Amino acid sequence: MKRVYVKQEVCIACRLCEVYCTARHAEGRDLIGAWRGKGARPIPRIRVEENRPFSAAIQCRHCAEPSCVYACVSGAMRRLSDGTVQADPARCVGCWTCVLACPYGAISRGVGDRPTAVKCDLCPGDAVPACVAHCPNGALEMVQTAETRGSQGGVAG
Amino acid sequence: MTHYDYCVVGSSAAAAGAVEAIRSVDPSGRLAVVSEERVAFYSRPLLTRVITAGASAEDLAYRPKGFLEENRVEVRLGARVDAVDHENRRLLLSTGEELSYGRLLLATGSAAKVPPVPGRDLAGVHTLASLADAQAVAASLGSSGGSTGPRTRSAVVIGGGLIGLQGAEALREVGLEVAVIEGLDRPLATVLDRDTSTLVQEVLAANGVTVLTSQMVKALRANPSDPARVGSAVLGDGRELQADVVILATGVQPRTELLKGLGLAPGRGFPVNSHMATPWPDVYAAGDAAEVSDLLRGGARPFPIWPTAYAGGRVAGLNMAGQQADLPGQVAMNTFHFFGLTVASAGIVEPPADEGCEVLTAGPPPGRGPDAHHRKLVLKDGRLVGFVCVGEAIDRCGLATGLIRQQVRVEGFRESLLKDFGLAPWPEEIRSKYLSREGILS
Repeated sequence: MKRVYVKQEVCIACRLCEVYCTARHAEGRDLIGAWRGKGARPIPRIRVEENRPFSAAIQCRHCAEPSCVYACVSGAMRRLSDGTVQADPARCVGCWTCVLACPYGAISRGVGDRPTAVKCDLCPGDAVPACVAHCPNGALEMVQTAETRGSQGGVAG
Repeated sequence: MTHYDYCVVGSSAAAAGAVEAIRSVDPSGRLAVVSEERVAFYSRPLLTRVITAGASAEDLAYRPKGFLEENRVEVRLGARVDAVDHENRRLLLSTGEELSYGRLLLATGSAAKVPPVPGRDLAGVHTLASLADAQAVAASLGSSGGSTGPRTRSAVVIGGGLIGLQGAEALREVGLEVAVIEGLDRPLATVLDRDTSTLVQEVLAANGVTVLTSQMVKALRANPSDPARVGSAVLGDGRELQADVVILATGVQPRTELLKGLGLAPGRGFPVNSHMATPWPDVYAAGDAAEVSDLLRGGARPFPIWPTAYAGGRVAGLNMAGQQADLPGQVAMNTFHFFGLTVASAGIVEPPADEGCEVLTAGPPPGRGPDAHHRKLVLKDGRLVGFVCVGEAIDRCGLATGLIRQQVRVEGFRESLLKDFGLAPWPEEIRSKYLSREGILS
């Protein structure tokens, strides 16, 4: 089970994680396309919080007990068997109950005619998420942890 | 008689939470879901889509196709449980079938209250609590008046709570004139503070939905050209409003009739402990029908909201399958949308003057229409106990919900929460806990 953790002591608030997250989730998965292409620019799914000298990047923690999944009224938010928590835009109705439920503030409201919830998806298919791969300072690290339960598993709390 | 290791009565959020929890622990025990509804596991909060968009049962599905098969759930749909024989661990169904159970979950939900208003039995008068209700409203819109009578033009909604206003918005969206009749002096009185409920009322009015407050419906009258159908509503002050369709939305009450022997007072839900177990052996309860502990006010009461139903069902399921799990004290939370106005609220939002709460507000005052953004925080004894956010101010509001749930002292950074919920201005000690690998959730 993949997890991304931040080392706040070496985050320099360069926001390259946000930039590369946006690029990774743009149609052509590239920087130029994301910023200068025709489509709407994706919202970054990671966010640098800054209050000098503190800074750290915040994103979905893919909780074992995901409040967003429990709160979701449409069934769009699911914890999959690989341990990741994913928002299905086809089923999301933009009610933002997940925004209200996530204690990390890691879910954003999408934009457009039919906005849906936007959150870290851990870059499915990629060995390493884009934010981790492009952090110049090693402030984001990917950790593999043992999966203890199946989908929607875990101890409630 | 068929035996099941687990029987779940009901097929909504709490039942889904239980099924998924049971299967995460016990992949093979026999599991039955019994529901009087014809469709299981649909999204009740999305019911008005049946009216506005002709949504089908599949459109409202809460879980993907194959959910029942994958979780090896045997369903009995259209089957009401008529009696629970808890001594012999048996259920008697309205179909005549008897089931025996190892562990039982009562996730019976709540029923719409029907006010004792004369004329409530006329055609065109509906509640809006189930898929069948929503389908009946949609059918009513097409059928009123028949070929000779006037077409459906006007609706009256009795009750200005969440269901009433959602129904009103939906009926307005399909082109009806809509009036909402609310007995209290403001709509959404149980879920919103006064300022925000006033804003909601203004936004509704600007979009053609009139909310008449401190008003009641004395009687529903038949349509003279179609005497079996409703035609008008007579208000307490004698006014008569045209009403080709009427929605009764004066609240819901827990459905506890299956355990009458417990002697529960009307309006009270099943008593449960933190494992969601009732006083009867191996009988659990969750969802709208159960009374769970209230984190902020103490005591136990029904929390008729989806997140609590799912979480309670999940805790029940884990315990039914032999794990130890506890439901923490609950905090009310709601998001809603009316004609583009977005509101999120949690906890105590309109504290009584004598409770010693402090209120902080930011943003333009309500009254600026759907573009308004506004944030209100309620604090008590140095802790956040509630908030209301309007418009863009809802962003990252889950951080505030988390502060309430974890009862974090916020004295040092409370002003920052008015501007942005982000944790950068928070004390290092709290921030680091959030950023640690362990995080803040178990």
